[in-house]
Amino acid sequence: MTDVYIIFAKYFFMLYIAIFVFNGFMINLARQDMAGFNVAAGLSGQRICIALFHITASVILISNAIEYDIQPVVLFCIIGFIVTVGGNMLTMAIYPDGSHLLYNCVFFLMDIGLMVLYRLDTALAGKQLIWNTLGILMMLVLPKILEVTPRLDKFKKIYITAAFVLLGTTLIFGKSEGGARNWINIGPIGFQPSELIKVFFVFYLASCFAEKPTLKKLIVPAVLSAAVVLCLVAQTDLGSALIFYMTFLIMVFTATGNYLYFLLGIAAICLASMAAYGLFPHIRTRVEAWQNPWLDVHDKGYQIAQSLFAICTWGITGIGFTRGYANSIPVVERDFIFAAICEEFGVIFAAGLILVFVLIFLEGARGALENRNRFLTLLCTGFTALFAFQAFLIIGGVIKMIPLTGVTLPFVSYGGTSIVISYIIIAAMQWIIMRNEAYSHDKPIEEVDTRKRHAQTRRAAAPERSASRKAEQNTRKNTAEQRPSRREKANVQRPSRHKTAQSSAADSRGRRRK
Amino acid sequence: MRSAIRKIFWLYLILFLILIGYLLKLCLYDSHSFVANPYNKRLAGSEEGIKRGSIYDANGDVIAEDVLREDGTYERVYNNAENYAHTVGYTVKGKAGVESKYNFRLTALSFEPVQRLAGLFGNEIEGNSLVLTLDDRLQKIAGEQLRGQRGAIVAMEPSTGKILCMVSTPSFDSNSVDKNWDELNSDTEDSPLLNRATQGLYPPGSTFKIVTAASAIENNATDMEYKCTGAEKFGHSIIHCYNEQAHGNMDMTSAFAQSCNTYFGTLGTKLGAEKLIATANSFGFNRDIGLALEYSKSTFPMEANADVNEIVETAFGQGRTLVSPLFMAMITSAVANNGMMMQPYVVDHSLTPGGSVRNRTLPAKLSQIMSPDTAYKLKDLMCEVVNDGTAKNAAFSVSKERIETLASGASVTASDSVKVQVAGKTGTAENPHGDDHAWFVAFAPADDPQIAVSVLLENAGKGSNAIPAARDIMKEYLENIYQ
Repeated sequence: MTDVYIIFAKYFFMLYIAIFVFNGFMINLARQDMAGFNVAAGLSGQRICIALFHITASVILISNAIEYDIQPVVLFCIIGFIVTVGGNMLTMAIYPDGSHLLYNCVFFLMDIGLMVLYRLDTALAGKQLIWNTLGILMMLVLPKILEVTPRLDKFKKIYITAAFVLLGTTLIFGKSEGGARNWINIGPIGFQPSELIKVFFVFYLASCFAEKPTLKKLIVPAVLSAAVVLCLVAQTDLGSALIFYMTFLIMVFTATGNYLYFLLGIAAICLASMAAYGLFPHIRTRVEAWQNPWLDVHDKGYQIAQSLFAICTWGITGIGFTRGYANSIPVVERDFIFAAICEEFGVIFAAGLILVFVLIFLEGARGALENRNRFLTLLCTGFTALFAFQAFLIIGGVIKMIPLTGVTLPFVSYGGTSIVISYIIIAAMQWIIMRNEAYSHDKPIEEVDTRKRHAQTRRAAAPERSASRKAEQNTRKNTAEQRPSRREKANVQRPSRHKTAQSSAADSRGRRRK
Repeated sequence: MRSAIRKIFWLYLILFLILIGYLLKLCLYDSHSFVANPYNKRLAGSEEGIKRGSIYDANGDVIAEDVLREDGTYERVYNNAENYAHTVGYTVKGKAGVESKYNFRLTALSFEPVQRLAGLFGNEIEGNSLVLTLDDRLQKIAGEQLRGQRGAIVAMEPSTGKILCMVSTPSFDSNSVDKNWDELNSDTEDSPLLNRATQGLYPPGSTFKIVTAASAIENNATDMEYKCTGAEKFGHSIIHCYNEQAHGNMDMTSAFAQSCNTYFGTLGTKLGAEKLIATANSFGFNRDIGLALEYSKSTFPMEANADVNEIVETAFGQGRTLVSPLFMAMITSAVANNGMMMQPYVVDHSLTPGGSVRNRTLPAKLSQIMSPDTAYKLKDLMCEVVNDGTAKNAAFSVSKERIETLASGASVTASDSVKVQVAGKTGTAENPHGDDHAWFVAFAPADDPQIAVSVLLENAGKGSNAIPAARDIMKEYLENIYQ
């Protein structure tokens, strides 16, 4: 009976993630007036998908344990449900103006991670549940704290000092785990400083580039960033080093809009990789294991080979939750959790999971685009880049598209520090999205430059005017209908407020500067 | 800045769509090349309460099937077990043969949701069945021919690599492997669990002259003439022809037909080690043959600095060269197939419980081991062996009704039967374990080859003793089976 249920459940899982992703993209189209779609209903649909996912998977876990000790499973599933669904409802209550699409994505990923972890290692899943709860609490509290903080773009020296202090501590006291020397033990708790450095790093770069940087002003941040990256390389934490480097490039590109820097950066990393390949034997080993894992399948290629077996043996629909052999992959609960998901939920579901990440990046881009403040825009771009390259490196590594660099899959993999930091980053992104309202009477970012670009600004404003006309039409339409949420209302109101801001730019600037 | 943010989002979107594309490609197209790797633990698993797929011969006759016992469990039952034991294998004691290598297909459930649902209402949940390329009629003849001796017979379709018949003796009963396990393993003299056809390695004897002759043809050294006195001194030892028979004046054709050792020894010294090594390498010695079952690589260990004695002995099939009966069948098939060696296979396709065909094996080329011209000349040499050499009794006739299907390569004889031109080569392999091993490899009809056979009889004396088995199998195939 259980077998039959598991087989059918895998199709339900695919359906849930398909609806979730569909709703996510439709909400984005609706926001741009490209499709008629009820945003509030779409978000509710996503929440229902998360709850159903949790319930469907819980039934499998419980019925598998029915013959022996059923209590801990039931407890785990119920607490998991409360954390997932309850946490999500709390975000609605506390932050009605936040991006609930982003919250939904995070809670969905978290729940997938929890259920898969429980099936892989019950003890780790328990710990993960605690980390998640901690992270969610941070995510709920942090925006409130950030709201009352002073101008965060004024502390770049503190950020970079903190980053180097953490790096130094790791270099001196670091313990190595899984090849990389990036752990510090504080009492019984292992702590990964590189995760926290991420936050400082992005804050630092965003404050550096808060004024449009000239080539000269790029030098100091570039040198210091290079130092951070090299320190990470020295700890053999290549995955983090790459993520930091790419985030730096993305932020420089966003700040300057200069393709040349971006391409030079890509060229530099290519040269550096080739040099590293020649210089360091452990990098050569990894690249060789990636090029042909089958040559040395019992040793160097073992991990990646087991991952590929897990992904491919059962075809694109997977074998069914709890029926796979995912424990045959070393460190499956951290780096290789994506392979376990492919094996049991199927490759189609895994593709859906990748699209959930794309939805997160879409929210990140939207948060950055709607912002009128350079610092916050850059912050949002930087955080999105962190997630994007982290997810890309580990998923690409697990499916053997690129050489493997051991990093966690955000929200899904087991890992204390990385989980909590990921929630902190989401909290900061949500704060930025909510602050878009508060900052909207600031100078628009196109106007930051001097008069040289004045003409350009006027041209840029033209489509905005038409957008505001459209919005006005919407307002008229909306009076007949019920408005989905306060967020939507705010969206509609903004253009008119923005007009006032433009007409009295000097006035508002003076007000802000006090 | 805004346009930069948009561009970056598009970059992410493209990167992650590439991830999805790569993932789907990996799973749908690339997976076939590595999923069957022995390090994949998933292939060995099987689930209780599921009916393992059946195994059929090429005609659809059942070789192995699961039978439901009274206690609700399944028992694996094998028919004609002795003839199929080594190929089909067994499911106990870690599994072997097709049962082991195709375990995944035999236990995989097609239309799993439907089957599982039907299972709730008491229907059997059944894995996919396999249809082999082996033909029961040929297996029977081979089994009878090998009865009471140690040896192996392999028959292949030269143009595809399809194995039509593969029997190894002494054999065992797949039905009682569990019961007789200790006994089967302790019999080190007969080693009944060893599949002699694929895992047995033997000195090739004079059948290796095919390789030496190919080397001579490719190196334009076929015009050598030589007077055989029955013995010749090379280096520090004397080489004899079989029974020290003096063959007299020999050219390539007659030396091949009469299997003159001294001629081929001299030819070997003329060619030299390097050319022989080059030919052996291109023939695929020391290489994987891509068979899905357990097999041993045929080896050709001679090196370029070998002394004259090793070259001479290697040239007529002694020395340190070792071949499996299957590999000799592959070489013979390649001669028949214009020099193209095909990858051998025993599983033709799978069948879902509903009867639809899945995973049909497509013939795959291994390599062009010699030029078509060389193959053509070798074929003439091998015909001469049967027409006027050591394998005269390999000739046979088929009934006149088959004349249509076998239009070419057959000449009408007196009554209602048609003589088929056979091409072959005998071999008598000296070995350290007693009497000589008897070898015979052949294919027919010479002009349009449909079947190639390799027969090895351990310690059975001269090569011609292996001829009747090969002849009967070729005759049965051409008379009754081939269409």
